[in-house]
Amino acid sequence: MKLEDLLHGRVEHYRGGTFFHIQRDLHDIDSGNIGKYIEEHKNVLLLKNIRKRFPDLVHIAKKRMLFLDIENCGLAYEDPIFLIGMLQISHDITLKSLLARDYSEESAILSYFLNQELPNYEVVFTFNGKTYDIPRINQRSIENGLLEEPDSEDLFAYASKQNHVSINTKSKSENPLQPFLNGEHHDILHLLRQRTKLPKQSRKLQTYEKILFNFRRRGDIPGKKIPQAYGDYVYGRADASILAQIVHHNQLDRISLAGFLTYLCS
Amino acid sequence: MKLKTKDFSELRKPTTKIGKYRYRQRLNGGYAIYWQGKDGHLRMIPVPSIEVAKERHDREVQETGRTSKTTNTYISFLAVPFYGKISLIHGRRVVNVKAPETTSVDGRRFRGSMAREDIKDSIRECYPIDQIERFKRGEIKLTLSQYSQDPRYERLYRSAWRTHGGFDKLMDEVYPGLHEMLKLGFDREQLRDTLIQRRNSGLNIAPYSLTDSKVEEERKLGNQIKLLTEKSGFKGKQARARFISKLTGLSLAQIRSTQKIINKNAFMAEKLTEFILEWAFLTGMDLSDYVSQAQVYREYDMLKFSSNNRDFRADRRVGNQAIEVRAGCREVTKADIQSFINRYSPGKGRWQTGELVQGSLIAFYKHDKLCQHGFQALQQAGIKIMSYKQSREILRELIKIMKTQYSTELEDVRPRVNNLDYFLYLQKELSLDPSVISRPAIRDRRELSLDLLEGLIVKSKALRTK
Repeated sequence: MKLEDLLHGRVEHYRGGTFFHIQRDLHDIDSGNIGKYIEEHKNVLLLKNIRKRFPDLVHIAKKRMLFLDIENCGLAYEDPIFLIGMLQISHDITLKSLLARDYSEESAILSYFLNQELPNYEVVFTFNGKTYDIPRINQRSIENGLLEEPDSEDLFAYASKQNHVSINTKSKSENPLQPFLNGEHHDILHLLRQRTKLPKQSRKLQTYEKILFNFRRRGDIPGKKIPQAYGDYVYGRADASILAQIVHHNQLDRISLAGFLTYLCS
Repeated sequence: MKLKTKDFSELRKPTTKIGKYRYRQRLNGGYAIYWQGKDGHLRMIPVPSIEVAKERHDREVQETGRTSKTTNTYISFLAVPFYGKISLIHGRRVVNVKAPETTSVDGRRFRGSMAREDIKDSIRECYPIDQIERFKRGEIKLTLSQYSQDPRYERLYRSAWRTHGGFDKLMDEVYPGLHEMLKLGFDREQLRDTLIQRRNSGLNIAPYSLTDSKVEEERKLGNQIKLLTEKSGFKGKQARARFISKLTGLSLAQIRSTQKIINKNAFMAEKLTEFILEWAFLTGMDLSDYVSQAQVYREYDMLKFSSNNRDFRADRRVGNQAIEVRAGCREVTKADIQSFINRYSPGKGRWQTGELVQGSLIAFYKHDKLCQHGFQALQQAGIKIMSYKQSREILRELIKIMKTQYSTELEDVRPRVNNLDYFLYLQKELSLDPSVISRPAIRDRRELSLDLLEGLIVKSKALRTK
């Protein structure tokens, strides 16, 4: 089966590269109890309620809030990002996925995300994104030549100490991730940790799903198998259905994020 | 007859410890001074008594107006039993003599310290800012000796070393890095920029490959790194790589991996050429300006040939024609051109399999400005050339045909080919800007690109044999 039929998306051309763009509504995705919980508590997701919980969002419109989750080919710095998943709350809850069908499309999804998507948002919600997702997007964007490398601190210290190298303070193109790296970013994991006292090893997204929404994923691909599964798809050892499973897994993660915010605001 | 024996009784006397020295007074009033030498051995110097030393000093001053080095040594060591250190000044106090008056003109000129700001002003006067900028641009030459050897600055120069911790430090306060630049002939900042620029262009910055390079410019760079590494105090394993890492902010892995990645990129360019040739032959594209249609070989033994009594290996072979591929940002030197002419001039070479090398093609995946100066000489020698622009046109045309005529066949290719235009991007990247694909963190894309090309080559071979 073709990717277009399975994932209901389209191939997007952007700056000389291509990638697969998927846009779905919450109703299109089977999200079990979490979807129901969000539907039932939709009023809680009104901006005034969210602002009560997060007073620093007073000036921010609801549609300028982004729920973000990414999928990688591993945890090492040379492992590419292949899926950037976004969830936006406006009248409806919309889920966008930027999918790289192979490693050569990583640059295109990062570039599209940085230039076309990220400027539309003022605040980002993630699950463990302070430590992982946002720094990882930043790092991979640098490695792909999309963002400039920051001058090494070591180099600066060395130069000052030696008094030999005068550091060039060239004006660099602005990093669109910088506001989010600096703090316009709420890590739901940290907030859930404060609200629910769980042992360290249990502070996982799916554990919170079970505890808060009594939701157990059935037939979902486990997170640790995703890099291998994606590699199998790229090298033709698996068909497109495996990619559909990965995208579904990521979509559920994002819906859970919205669910967690609903829970935190209620 | 009674034998006269030497009196060794004094050697049995115990020594007295003072500071890091020990001493024993001798029967004649003099001293034996002991100390531990730097090599761990015990050292000893006998010095005369205070009276003898004073007499010797007075006699020499009266006769010559100065004291000899030996007398000064004795007086210095005579300070040990009283002050616990070797010191001419303290020794003179012990012996109760005055330091001789300096009468030489030189001595008077160099005595006394000069103000720090005066020295700095003189540096600014000797090296005006506009001259330094011109020097940095390579328009004029400046030297350290134009200050140190100038009689106007001699007193300031010596004062800088004597009382202000060194002329280099004062000069660095006025113009950071200038002293080192004048001393070594190059600048740390320039070196850093050059290294980062090379790395961004996908060129090698591994220090030993630079030192051993055949290109003079790279050897010069390697020597500069060597010199600065030693000067900056980096020692031990991978000292030069650690120095580059510190200077440029790159990780050791990034520095070390450059050569491997360059080789991989060259390998990729070879595969890209094979892909172009195979698919061009399959689709019936006209490549008669470059090669005539035949089987494309890549097997190691099929690529060996000898020319001018030397053995070589071509990158690929089409029938009996040799294919050489050059990619990346390194400039093609005159030596490279001569080497190509010696190797690939038609009628000179013979394949290891026995056939004559009938013509050759060099594919340059480089910006024209890096290689076009050699095109004429190569063409005159009968070698065909495929420039970046020419190969790009062929590839663009080829991809158009593949998209329209072979879309179903391409679905079977593994790894999956999602975007044929990627090969145009890859060719541009390898030729003009390999900065991203040369990064260690882009390993997966590099490997995939090689696998994609291989998959397409295998597919074209299969389709050609049908």
